[in-house]
Amino acid sequence: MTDTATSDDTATSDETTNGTGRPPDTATDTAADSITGRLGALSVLGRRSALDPVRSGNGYVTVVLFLLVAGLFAYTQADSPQVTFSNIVGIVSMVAPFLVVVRCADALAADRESGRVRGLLALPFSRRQVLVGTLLGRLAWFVAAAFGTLAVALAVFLARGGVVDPTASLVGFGLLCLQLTVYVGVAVGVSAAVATTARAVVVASAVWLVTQLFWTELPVLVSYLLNGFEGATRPEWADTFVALGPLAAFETLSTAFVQGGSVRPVLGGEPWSALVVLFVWFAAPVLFGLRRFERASL
Amino acid sequence: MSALELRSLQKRYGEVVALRDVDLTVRRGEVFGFLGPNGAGKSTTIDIVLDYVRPTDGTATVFGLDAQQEGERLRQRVGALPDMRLFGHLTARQHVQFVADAKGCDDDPVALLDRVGLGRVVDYTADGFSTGMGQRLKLAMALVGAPDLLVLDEPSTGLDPNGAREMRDIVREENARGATVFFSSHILEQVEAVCDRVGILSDGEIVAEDSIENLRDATGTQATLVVSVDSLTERAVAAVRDLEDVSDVVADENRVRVTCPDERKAAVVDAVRTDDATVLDIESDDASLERLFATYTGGLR
Repeated sequence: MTDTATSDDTATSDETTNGTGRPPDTATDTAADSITGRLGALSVLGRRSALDPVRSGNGYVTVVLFLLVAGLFAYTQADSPQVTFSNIVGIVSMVAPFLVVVRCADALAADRESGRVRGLLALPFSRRQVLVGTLLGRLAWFVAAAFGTLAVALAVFLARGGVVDPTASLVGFGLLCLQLTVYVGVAVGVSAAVATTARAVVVASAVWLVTQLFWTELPVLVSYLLNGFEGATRPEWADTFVALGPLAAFETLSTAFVQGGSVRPVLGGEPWSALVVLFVWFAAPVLFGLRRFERASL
Repeated sequence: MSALELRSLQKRYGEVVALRDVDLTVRRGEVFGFLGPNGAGKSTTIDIVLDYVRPTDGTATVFGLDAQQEGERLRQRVGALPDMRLFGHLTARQHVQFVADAKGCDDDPVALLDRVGLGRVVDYTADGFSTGMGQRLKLAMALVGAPDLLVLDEPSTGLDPNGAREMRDIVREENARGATVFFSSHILEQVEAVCDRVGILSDGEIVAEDSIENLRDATGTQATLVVSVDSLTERAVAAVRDLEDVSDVVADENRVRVTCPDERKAAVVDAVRTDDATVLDIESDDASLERLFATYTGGLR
């Protein structure tokens, strides 16, 4: 019965032009090349990637971890006089990189390792579309998960009589999204660059460790090594180096725009220059991953 | 323009040569069987057509579209069943719908799943599927959007004989609506049953490309036929010996054994019955295709 359906398709579709020996290039090509076609591909891939944690049932781990941090702090800190809701948002922003790295490093690598990515690439998608679609989808998922858990935390916070500072909280949420963007970029970029989930997790965790925990210590460590392990002095370039890290950039933005404190000039410029630093930390791993992914044998 | 063209295709993995120099043309509208023993390079070839791996040298084109340069446009017109894994947490319907979304067509997933015999499990997730069911689902995904070319990598893997027959029926139906079909296999019966032409790949090279009949003629591979009758006369045996293209005639008591091409079998039976003998039994050793395959791939020479 379905045979009739397919032969109908044949009659109406470009198959008719096939008989003349000319390919029906015009119809399919414009579809694949047009901007709407590309956006269509990204939305199909992005939706798959965003729904993946929900459909597979693994997403709850991320939500529980977010909820643990946000909910616990909201519950315990609500009656503390110097804590407002934007502080809770700030705390979630500090753990977000770790959560993203742990929960998102497998984004592409797992599909590649298992051979599922071959199924995706048997379809009219480019590898770049697969990477960007995965990135957008995962980012959407993390933003939604963070938003949802913060909504719950807000309810808890209010119920416990906490003080909400709406503007600062909203700006703080914007910065949280920025933080998520940078580390989803790192995780997906790394995931695209390597062939197995294990390697992706190791490399992405290493990036988190270096950028979030040890970045400020690196100049001293380098000086220590250069001095032959005898006494470390803080090198002159240390401040510039630290400012180039994603942690300092985020803290600059947070201090300047959420807490409203004064900040050291970023590379001699306005505080918003830190956005440029964060953008580079997002774009570099993505471009690196794309380059490796486009050349990989799958 | 041909449906699929491989020109001087080469692929080396370090020291290992997967494809030496593959030239192959699949014409529009034909069912082409891509034969070869395991490790001959069939999957590598299909991987290059789908742009999973890049050739060391040479080109692969589908309807004039280059696999490396115009992969997305190429795959818009191809329905592929590659060696791949399904998304375990997605249902059969979600798999087919995803392909339909990707190709921008509005095929009904349920109708396609019905067609491959998965009509009763459309809303079950793929992680509960057997290998055969998974293979049927992959076929349904390949059929989405009535593609101009079907590229099937070992499509009958994991299918029982019924499933394999249904797969062949679908290949015939797709071909009848105008699709070109290119499929790889190491199972000869599969290929002989549906293919207009075959290409035999051995050790990274195409060693034969023709219809199965022509390949048979070219190698002279023939069937062995044994006819048993109630009474065998000298005249009947002489009549058999006189037949053209019939050789190795051996007669004992009531049986005649000959070696002949397929199309001479009827003549042999007629000749045995020259004196109105009643035929009791006909045995035909039709391993000719196996032998053909072995001859080309160096298993028997």
